[in-house]
Amino acid sequence: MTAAIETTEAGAPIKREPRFSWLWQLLRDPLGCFGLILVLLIVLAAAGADILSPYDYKALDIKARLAPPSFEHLLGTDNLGRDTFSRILHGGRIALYVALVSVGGSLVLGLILGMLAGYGPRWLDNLLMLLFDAVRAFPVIMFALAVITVVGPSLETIIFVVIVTSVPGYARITRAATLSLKNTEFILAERSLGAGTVRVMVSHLLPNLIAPLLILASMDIPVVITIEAGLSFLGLGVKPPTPSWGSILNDGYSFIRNTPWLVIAGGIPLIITTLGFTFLGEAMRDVFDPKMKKDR
Amino acid sequence: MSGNEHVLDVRDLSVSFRTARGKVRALRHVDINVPRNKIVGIVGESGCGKSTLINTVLRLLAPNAVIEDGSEVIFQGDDVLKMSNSQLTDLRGQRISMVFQDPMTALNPVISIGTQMTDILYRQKIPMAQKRKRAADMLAQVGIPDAVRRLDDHPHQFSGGMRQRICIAMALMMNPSLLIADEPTTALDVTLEAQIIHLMKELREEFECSMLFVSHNLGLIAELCDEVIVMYAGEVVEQGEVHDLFHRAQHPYTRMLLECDPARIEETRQELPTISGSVPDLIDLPKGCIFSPRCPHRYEPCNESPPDHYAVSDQHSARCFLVRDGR
Repeated sequence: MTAAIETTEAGAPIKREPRFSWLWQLLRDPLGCFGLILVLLIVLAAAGADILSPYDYKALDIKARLAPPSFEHLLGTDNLGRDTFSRILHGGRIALYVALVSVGGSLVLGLILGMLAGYGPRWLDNLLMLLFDAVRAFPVIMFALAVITVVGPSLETIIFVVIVTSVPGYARITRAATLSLKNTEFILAERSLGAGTVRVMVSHLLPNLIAPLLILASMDIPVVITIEAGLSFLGLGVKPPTPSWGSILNDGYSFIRNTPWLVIAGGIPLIITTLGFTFLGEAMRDVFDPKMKKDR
Repeated sequence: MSGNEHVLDVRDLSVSFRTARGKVRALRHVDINVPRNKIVGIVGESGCGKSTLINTVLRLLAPNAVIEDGSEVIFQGDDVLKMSNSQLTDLRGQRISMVFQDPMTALNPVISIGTQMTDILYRQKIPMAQKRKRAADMLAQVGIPDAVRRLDDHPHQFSGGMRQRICIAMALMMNPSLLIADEPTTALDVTLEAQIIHLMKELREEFECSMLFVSHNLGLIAELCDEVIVMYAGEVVEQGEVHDLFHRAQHPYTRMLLECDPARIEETRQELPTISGSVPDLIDLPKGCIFSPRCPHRYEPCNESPPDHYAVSDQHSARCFLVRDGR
């Protein structure tokens, strides 16, 4: 009797999910597909900057200063006659580097601290929460300006500032999720089967926490890119010869009376990146969040 | 009976919880034992200390719990209450393991069954393929068809009954000497309940492990267990072999519990019988017998001092003055 009942249940053809079914679901969503294409475009452009760029981004072409787009200079040149297209490609590299390192860093740190706060003893939780709240109370740009004034502008400073200001966000989400998971029966069951604290945290809590955090991170990338561009625009980001979308925008701002092309060339990649990562993040949330799933 | 025949010996166990209102004395002087290869059932209403008792055996109590001095939980000769954390990790899952009430929440939803099962074997240095084979064998043994293929499935792809089978398979992975089952069928429907009980009986023959089976379903206890312990408000009120207890119940609480079992009601009536009153406040205990406020047979000695365990026969004792006085 036992076997009969269970076999009909299991014997019904079970739809096997292909390994990358989530990717297909992502591609079926038009916005997700669009986001993915934009993101791939940005990433490939940044990664292949050395091959794709027609000129050295530092090379001056004094005769063609502030030139409009032409076949010679695809997006024109800046006030020093440097090829804007090459500078945009290399600027993308900087932007992605800052975004990936600082989002990755804050994700990892936030995850560790959040899990410690959620799973650890009460006093540690209180201490960490106090710290997070204190950090969150600083306005990001003010904090950035203060740090840059003390340490001096550089890529590392930007990364540091972004990590410090975004760790509390990740940590809070991780902590909240950990707290609600901590008292579930399956964690108790794992402990009753001999899982130690580290094992519970790493192999059982982590897989439950990582999906929502990755989506949050993907939506955070454009924010970080804008922070980097913003600081570079203010002259507090990367130092001059290194191209950045923000500094290109700043040049465009200074020479807006002579040519609109620098502002356009600096602005469009920012728009593309922001849209791409936001669409991708939202589509990923829809795919991975079981509550948002409609027909499966 | 010598001490070695018992897998588990709980002696004079008292556990309290510190709360804002005061100390909740959840367990008071509990003495029970689980003989080798026997199934011992624990019955009682909600809040009588069943869960506290089994959580103490595994040392998985809430942080505000205090185990009072003089308590001993001897498992195969070792005192669980004196174990260090690493000893406890060794104990759990390998020597004692547990099956939980609700199979819907007892499995990690984002990890495949195979990974969860092989993970239990982390203490064994054997190749992964061998671990997976063992997991598949266990699944087959608890009646999951197509076990090898289903190792890669996630918990939500199984039905409730199958999940409970998986939980049982996981608990038996390391071949423990004692299996604790905390109301393993409460969350399942009646047909599945019968299947699970049947399975547990079979597995007990096969794995030769003792079981501590917690339930408030008297029918199940009668069906499955060899010995029964009746608990009330943190005390053991009656214990004995299953036959004695069901046919010659001595303690008024046990008798009333049996009367309340809908399956045992013989005449037709409009209302189900209940035990009037509720479990006493465990912060402020009555002076006499713990059950006296609800007891229909209470007389003078009941209000004076708490009764001791009085033997009814060799294997059967009850904590009631009626037994002492032969009334």
